[in-house]
Amino acid sequence: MTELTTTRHNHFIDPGLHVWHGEVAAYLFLGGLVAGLMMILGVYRLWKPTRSRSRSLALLPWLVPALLTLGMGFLWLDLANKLNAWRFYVIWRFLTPMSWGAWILIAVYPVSILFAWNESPQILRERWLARLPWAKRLSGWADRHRRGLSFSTMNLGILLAVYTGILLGAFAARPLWNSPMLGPLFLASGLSSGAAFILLFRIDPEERRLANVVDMAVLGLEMGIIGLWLVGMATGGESSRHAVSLFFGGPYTAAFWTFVVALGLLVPFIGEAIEYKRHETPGRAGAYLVLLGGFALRWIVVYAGQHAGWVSELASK
Amino acid sequence: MLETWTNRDNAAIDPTLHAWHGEVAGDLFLAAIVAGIMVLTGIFALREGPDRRSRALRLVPWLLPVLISLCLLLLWLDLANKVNAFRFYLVFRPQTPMSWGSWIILAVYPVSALFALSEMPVDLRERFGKAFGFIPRLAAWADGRSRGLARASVLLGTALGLYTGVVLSIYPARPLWNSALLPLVFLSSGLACASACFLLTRLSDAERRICGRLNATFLGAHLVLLALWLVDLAVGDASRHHAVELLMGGSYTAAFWTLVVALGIAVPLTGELLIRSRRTLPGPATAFFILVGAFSLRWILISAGQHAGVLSAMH
Repeated sequence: MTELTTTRHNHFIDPGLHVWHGEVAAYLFLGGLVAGLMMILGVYRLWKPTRSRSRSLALLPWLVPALLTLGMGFLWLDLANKLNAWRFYVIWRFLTPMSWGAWILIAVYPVSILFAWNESPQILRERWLARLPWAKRLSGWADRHRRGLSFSTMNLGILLAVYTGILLGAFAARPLWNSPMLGPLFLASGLSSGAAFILLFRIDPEERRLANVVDMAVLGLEMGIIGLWLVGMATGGESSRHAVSLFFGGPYTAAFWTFVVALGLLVPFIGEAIEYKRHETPGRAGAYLVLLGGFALRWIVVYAGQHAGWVSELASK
Repeated sequence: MLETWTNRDNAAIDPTLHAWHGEVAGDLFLAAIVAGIMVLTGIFALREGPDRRSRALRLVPWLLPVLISLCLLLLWLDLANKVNAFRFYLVFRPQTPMSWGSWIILAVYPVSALFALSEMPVDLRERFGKAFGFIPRLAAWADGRSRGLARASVLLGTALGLYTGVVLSIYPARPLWNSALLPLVFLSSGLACASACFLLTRLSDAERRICGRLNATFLGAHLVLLALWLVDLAVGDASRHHAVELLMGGSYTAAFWTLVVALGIAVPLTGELLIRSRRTLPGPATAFFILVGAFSLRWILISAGQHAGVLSAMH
């Protein structure tokens, strides 16, 4: 027999904690998207170092710092004390995922800009260099370190995606988040969002097919990871089971199964599989759905995670 | 403030539970190898025609029914009521991982045997065909479905690899095991074990290089997943903290960091990277370390997992 008595009542924490809002969900989505783009573009450069790219694909890496800035803008908007944001960058706390994240985000800027420079068409680079003569040395350095920059881009992408999952997974008091599967889940979701985002641009049919195959494979992987994440919670302690019940009959059931699983995973996966089997050039419809599913996943996880807690379901019995 | 009172005292459960022994660790290790071999041989068969693969690689699937039998034998030895083992196959319980596992293991037999038959070199088929008349007919049937069998092998191998982790991770009372990441940890370890096993056979040079590269990839993924697993335990509740302490200063620290991390992952991973940078051929040494590490991981997890409990952490 186990008895549990609690007198906990902390303002803003018990019985409910709702301090993270839509801005965090938007940041997590954009962070995952940026991470996915970095991984795919980095791996593609390492895999096919000499293959020529379509103009759209060659210019796509410039969106990485732009989207990241937008994501960090959302993060900043969510802060209660906005003027204190710079304090993240006067210290590095080894045991704090948010500190890791802050420094990873900063590291993305120089690496992604130099990588984007390397990827840009030669003619554009020459035109820019004519206007910015001081950048010649930097351009030469980036050109000599093409492989290293591609490798760093890929690895920073992995770190960025996994960190967004660990950031939530580190909260022991939030059983829906407190799962090691969130890191791999956000990594897979970021990869699929990245591949889907690439499909929105005017890239070559061959590049489209490749992005389609990557998206299809990662969507399959994501479904498996979501399955393991749900099984993990369903076979966990009382609070984990209470948390997962939010998706199985609870208030987030319809949103999760409709937006994330059906529209965000199953429909695009089936569509892409049909396109692949018929050797057709993939369109944009599936890509929009994948992006919708990626955003819905973060939104639902952020909100549902704050809905489920230890005390609320144990103490209220 | 959170207060807990307990007067739990159930024989063989509280304060500790030591019902699973070395046989289970052996079973999990062999099942992981089988799973990895099924996945990798299936993928090799789907990617390249039989004439482009070495004889050794085409004969490897014959190890599957042998290893899975050994695995089942170890499981059976661990059972308290051995005569009741057949009862697993009288029912299928979809919410019980062990029921899934028993049916997955059973399904491995026909799929792996038919897949091995479709992969078997012609001269061997003829030789065995003379002794057993049904072999040519069965081989002809399997040949017509070789791609389907390869796909089934990949799927079944993945299911088997994941199941070995799920079967441990579903115990909320055992915080060291109760992690959703364990299935992926075991799957990545099984894949590394399989490519290590390939390196112990007479592969062609090109295949050795591929296996070396696969080893490095799977070991890297395995290392990251292990790290995530430890982080998950470290950022969990009090019982998880207690569980991870067993590996971070507790009684299993030396064994885990020496046998699993240093010898089983860091040494072979460094070896593979050195081999690749020097463009030499991967040998059996790294493979040996990988297998030692994978077996140690299961042994340590089985013992340490039963050592750590929800109650012991609270006390």
